[in-house]
Amino acid sequence: MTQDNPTTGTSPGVSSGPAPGNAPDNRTREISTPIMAALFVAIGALVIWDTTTYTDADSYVFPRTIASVMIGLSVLLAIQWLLGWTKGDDVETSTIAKSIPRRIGLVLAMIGAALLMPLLGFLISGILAFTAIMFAAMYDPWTPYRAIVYPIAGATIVVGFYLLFSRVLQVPLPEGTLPF
Amino acid sequence: MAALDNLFAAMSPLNFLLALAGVVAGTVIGSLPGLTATMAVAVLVPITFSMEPASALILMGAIYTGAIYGGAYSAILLNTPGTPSAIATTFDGYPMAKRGDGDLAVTLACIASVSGGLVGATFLLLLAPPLASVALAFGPVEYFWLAVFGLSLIAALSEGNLIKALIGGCLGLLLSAIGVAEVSADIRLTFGSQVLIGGIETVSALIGLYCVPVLIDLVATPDKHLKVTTQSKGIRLREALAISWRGKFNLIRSSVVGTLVGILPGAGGSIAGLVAYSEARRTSKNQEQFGKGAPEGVQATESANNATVGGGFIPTLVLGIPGTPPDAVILGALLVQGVKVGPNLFTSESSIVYTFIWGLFLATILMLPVGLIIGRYAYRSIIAIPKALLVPTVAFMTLIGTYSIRNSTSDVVIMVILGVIGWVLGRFGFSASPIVLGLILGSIAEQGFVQAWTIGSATENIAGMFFGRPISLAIIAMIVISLFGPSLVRLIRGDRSNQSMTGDIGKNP
Repeated sequence: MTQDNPTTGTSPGVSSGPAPGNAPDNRTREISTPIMAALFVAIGALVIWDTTTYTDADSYVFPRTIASVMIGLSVLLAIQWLLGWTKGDDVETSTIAKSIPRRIGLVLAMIGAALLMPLLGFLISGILAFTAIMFAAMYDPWTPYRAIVYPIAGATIVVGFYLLFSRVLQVPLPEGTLPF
Repeated sequence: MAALDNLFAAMSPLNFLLALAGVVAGTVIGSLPGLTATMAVAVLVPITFSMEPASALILMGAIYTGAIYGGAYSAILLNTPGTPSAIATTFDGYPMAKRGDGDLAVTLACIASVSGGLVGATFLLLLAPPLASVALAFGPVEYFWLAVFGLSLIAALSEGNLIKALIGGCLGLLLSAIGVAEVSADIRLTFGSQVLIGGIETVSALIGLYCVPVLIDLVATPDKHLKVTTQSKGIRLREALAISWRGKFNLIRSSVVGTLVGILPGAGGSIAGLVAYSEARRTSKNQEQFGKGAPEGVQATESANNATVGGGFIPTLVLGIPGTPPDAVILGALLVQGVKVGPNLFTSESSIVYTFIWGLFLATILMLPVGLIIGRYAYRSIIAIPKALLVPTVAFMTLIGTYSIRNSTSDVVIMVILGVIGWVLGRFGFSASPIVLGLILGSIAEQGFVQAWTIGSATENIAGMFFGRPISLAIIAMIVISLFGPSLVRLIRGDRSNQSMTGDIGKNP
């Protein structure tokens, strides 16, 4: 299921994948498929290598079977690509028009919040993450109205959920180790 | 008739209020990603200890059924299943919301859930004892094939490349193997990491794979989250009722599928929804629309997952074997109450059982007004909230929801990382759904596979174990049809119109 790009996969003339250029030959144009196939072969091999350390046959029969199937499928995918059958797959094309720093900011804020939780406690790390993500998602100018209402709304949401989970649902959210 | 006598007991003002409160609480909890139906019931169980057994059961049943329905909201509006049961709701619900039909999808989901719930409760009322014996006919092999059947939905979902979808399914199965092994106790695929020993928690992985990619794409553009049509059309009840009437066979079939899957211990609403979705797609006249916003997809999943509520109570009450995870919690609460479940329950304690079953009907019917009102409110707030508040709010909900599943910050980190991996893979044509299917069905598939393998080895008849049992053969036939049916149909159609031989493999014009 593609997340947000209903036009992909329907226009075979558009360059698919990260490779630049618009050469008519499919093989020089789209190089992501063989790279992904190689990646999955590597993952499969890694899994099979890991299964050799298990003591019980019950443990390795399933992952080893699945990893072998995955390697086989990846080889098939590479063959498909060699034959030029992967042209027009659902590969998202419009990367440039979208903001990459905002995406990275969002991910870093979420991971950062998770890592800071044991230290700062859930509430403070949650507020920090909320603030950072709010800036990452802000496209409208900061009018006085927004500058006042958005932080208040954000604080209400974070504190509200915090109280709902910690007090009503009795989830032991991390308190943090700092002395405040 | 004992069943009818208790109808009036179920309609007492107290039970009515409990059913209403349960449905409202369940719907709200179920709509929050990370809070599953199991948790909704578990959190509210202590309240029921001081109640009469029948009232306690009504409250828990109402919470349960409300939570299963509530999962549809976030599935439709945020592409994040609020409960695992709503996974297949995202397939068509979110595309519907994106094109401006979110209100319609929410109303359809409500009608479907009520229909499914009523069918499930009817089965519970009329056929509980004979149906419970069905559950006993399912051995490990049958569970294995059932899981494979769920996986065969990958073929139905792969819009682009089938091989990529199958690779994604394998990846999901391998992810499910991380941690302490299901059957023996080997530690697998952790590569020395302490964090991974506990395995990848399914619900948090689900949140990561479905929700984080949506957030990543939301922050990247100033576009609105959902397309909003210029005029508010209210809840579009008339339109939804007309669609539901046209899809009545789909609703009934999906509800029966949901009930039957619910009866099987361990197979809950998520598998029921997937199987019903796959069947709805297979039998539909417009298969191409599935995955792109087909109302039938939402109807199938939502009716099936609510039917598992009634279905799941059948083995719980008749055999004392929980049909679904929330049933396990309810079973525990019943033991605290001193109610002895088992084959004699329907005769010795018939007043409790039948009062409860009528209460479940009541709760399901109450879900219609409650669901429509909450649904309208949920839809309005999602489209009214500016992006700069929506994105951090949803992100914060994923953080707190993921954390609260196992009280683990590692799960939160894994959730975000899986989300990023899902987003990257999505850009190269590997969609998230096959990975999620593999992850969810992995442990059932492996357990069934290894147990059947062990039994087969011991009796020196592995092939006979896997391919020689009648129920297995029926499931295998369904798998073959759902895997190769769509490709065959397309191939035949393609030949007729003299198109290229690559058919479904490459989308060459």
